[in-house]
Amino acid sequence: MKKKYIYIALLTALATALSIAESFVPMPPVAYGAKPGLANVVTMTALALLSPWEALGIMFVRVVLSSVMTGAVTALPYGLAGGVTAWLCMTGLYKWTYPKVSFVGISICGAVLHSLAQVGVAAAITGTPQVLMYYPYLMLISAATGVFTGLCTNYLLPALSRIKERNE
Amino acid sequence: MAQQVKKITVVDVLIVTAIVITAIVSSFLLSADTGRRIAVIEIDGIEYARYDLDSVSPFEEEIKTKRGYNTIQVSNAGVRVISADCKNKTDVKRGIISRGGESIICLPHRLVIYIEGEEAALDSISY
Repeated sequence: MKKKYIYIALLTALATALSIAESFVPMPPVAYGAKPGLANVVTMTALALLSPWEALGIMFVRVVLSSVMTGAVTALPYGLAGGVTAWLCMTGLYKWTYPKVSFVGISICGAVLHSLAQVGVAAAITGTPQVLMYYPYLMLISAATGVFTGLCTNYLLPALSRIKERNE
Repeated sequence: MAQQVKKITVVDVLIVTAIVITAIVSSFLLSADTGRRIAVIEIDGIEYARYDLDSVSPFEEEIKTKRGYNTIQVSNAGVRVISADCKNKTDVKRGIISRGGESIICLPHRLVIYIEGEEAALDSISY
């Protein structure tokens, strides 16, 4: 049904707004380069209520739009690398482990791989592998934000489950 | 009809614990806290300068590249970027770094500053 496109558009707008809003959130120096990753809630919602491909599309449009809108175009390759890696990981986990692993587990794995991909791209672009030494700290921060966004998704899904019912 | 809220599962808790332990252990393994502290500055992956933080006399330097400038301040206390013309100023917000393994990265300018701790004299770990 064509209703699906409305949901895709709404979720994309929501994800983009969350991305832009969180770019205004000041992060403490110990967590520099990190962000809360709230938009991942939307990616996971799309994964659960629509399909992995729609989730990928929403993620892609969100990363491109938010980096253009905040003016951080240099951040685009990092955002895309992180987004695609996280999407792959979360899709796999959702497909094969979902009822056993809730969105907290899915989200934390996605967040940890997201930051690994970003640090990897940063190391490749700067040509300085020592950049990877920062990764353990980022991993800890990702673990915390991943649990938070996972909990958000666990609580959000029942409220939005009508999206799925209406599409069926 | 209203679906139930999905509860955190046992596997979730295991995953979170495993990740937190991995992060903590690897950060301990990577941080070389003692020994000489050498600040290395790399631009585009090519070493630009290195300073021994324990014997350096404090100075400020403006590093100019074709992408922009970063003003760094080097002293015994560590290295920091005090101003830069990059967009997000992540490098300035990072503050001072002084311990082995810490780094400042200015992605728009491809500038990396990191502290190279020589092999740590493991004097604070007991088994």
